[in-house]
Amino acid sequence: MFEALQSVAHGFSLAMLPENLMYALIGSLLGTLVGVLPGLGPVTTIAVLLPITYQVGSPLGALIMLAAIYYGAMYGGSTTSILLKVPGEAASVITCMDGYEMAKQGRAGPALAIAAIGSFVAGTLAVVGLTLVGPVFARYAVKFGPPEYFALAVFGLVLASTLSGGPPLRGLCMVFLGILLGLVGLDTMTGDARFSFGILELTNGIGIVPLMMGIFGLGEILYNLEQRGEASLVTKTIGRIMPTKQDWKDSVGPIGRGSVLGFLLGLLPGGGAILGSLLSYTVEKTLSKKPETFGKGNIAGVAGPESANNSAASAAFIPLLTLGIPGNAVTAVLLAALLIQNIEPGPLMLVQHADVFWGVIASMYVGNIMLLILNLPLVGLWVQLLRVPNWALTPIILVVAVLGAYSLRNAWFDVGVLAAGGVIGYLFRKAQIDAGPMIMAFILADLLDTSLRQGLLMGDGNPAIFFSRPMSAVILAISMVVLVVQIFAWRRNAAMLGLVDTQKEAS
Amino acid sequence: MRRGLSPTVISALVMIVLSLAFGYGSYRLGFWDYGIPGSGLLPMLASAVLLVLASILLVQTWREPEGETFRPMPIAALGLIWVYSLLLPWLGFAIPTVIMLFIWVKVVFGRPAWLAALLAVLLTLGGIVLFGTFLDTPIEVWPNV
Repeated sequence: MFEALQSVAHGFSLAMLPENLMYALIGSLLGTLVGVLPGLGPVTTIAVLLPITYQVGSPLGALIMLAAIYYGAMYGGSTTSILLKVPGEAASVITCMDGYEMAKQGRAGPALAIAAIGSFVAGTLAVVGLTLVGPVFARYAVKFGPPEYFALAVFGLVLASTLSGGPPLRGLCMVFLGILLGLVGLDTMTGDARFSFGILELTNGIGIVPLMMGIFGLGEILYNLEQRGEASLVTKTIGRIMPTKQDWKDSVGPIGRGSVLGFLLGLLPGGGAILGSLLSYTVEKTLSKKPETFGKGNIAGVAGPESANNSAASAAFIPLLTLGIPGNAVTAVLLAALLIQNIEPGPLMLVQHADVFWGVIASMYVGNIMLLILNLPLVGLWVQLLRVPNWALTPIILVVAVLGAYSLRNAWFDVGVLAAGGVIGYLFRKAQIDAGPMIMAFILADLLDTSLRQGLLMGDGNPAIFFSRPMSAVILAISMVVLVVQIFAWRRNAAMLGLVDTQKEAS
Repeated sequence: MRRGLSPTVISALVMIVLSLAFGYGSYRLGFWDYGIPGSGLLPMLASAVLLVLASILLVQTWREPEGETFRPMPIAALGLIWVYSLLLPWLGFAIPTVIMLFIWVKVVFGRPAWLAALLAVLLTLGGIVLFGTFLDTPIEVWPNV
């Protein structure tokens, strides 16, 4: 514990350097700015802004900026949920329910304030948890070999495919498609060029950043072209920002519970923030003395879920930094950013890049304070941004996306990848298929491939090695159980919905 | 929605085609070479599983069409972006971008021509300044003559 505190103190000495403070501030501003804009979630925000961070001089500075963009976008996303009933990102869907009702009642100020304060408290508590739990994770992870990494990657992909919310079959299709696309390029073990068709740019693999910008950015723009009606912005003045005494009293419990729930779920790969906010809402509704007020402007319906999703967002850094396993599509992008900066996250990161590890954690404390300061007084400014019309906004995003994609390798080929991503994003959006599992699988494909083959080598070609080593056997067994349970749960829910519809028709 | 080519059916067909293509490529790469797992091992496994899953999805969604119908404007916009991305290596950034943005604002969003032209030029210039000057990206602004 003392060692962890010493390390955090060292991290603070790095995070408080003027240039790193500036990167945190720029990242927080950019993240909140783009997160406020409807239709642009954290994944799109980070993917579109990722190339800009390459110009930052140091890996620590780049990662500080990216992390600040991430949680800035989470903060910003709650603003559109409350004022527009349009979730800024998936985990803010729950906030729409009571947040927008509060705004309609002229209580947008307290809703926004509690969302910001709850996010600050939860984010700070989660970073404390990260400080204490992270090194413990890393200590155990050093003992992991290829079979364990393979098992972890499989676990992550199973959770990603089944917790995305849609039918498990589609999630699994996305996972295997992502694996195939992620294997395009040079084989890291033999140096063979796989599926490159002689195209030089493909020899280095499909660019993950332009692909993501295309799927989430361009795909979203194209889909939104169909939504011609403007979402109804709550036009009443924001008015009083600070919550009343009763609001504080009603929010303290949900913020505490949401923080813990979000932290625990954020440790799990695959959808921690979304699940955290959903479960938090359910818990608060169950514990409330007036459950009938949920969905009609109950402040606990904002405080709990917003705290849970920010706590989960911070907790997701633990598997990312200590194991090198991204917990969701956003941390998958951050993993890509780390690898491009020549930093390989994992248990050795604490030894080889301790400055980066503790510097990022310390900057998250600072970033949370910056976001609280930015979000409360500047809420009026963010509201004005929501009035920027689509015909002005989408061309800006297009120019940034095109030049961002190009700037990665100074190759127009990557703009083609961006356009291809747009096709995929639009097609899957129309088909109501979540592309998130595909991105996670894309990122994990190389780890999956290398650990599978190294594991087989260790076992002299016998796959039993994955089941004979206790840790990998347990993780694989849990993965299978989760998959089977999710499939049965989905089928049962689908059958119940069918039964309910049949009964409605009969009556 | 009537039976046939719904977005979900198209997605399933695309996945089937890709799984067959990757499966063939994996076969050529080889699964096991001289006692070492080959480069084609995981791609072959993934292709086989994807083929099965996508086929099930196709059968399910062919019978009960799902997804939203395609609309002409986003398809046209997608076509515009594709043509734009193909022209960039030949014409540089400036000319295709101004044209693309003008069409985007004028045709897709129905704004007046003068506004579309102004926005197209300003944003193109802005992009060049931001990325070329501040972020030091060597952008090919004009055609390679």
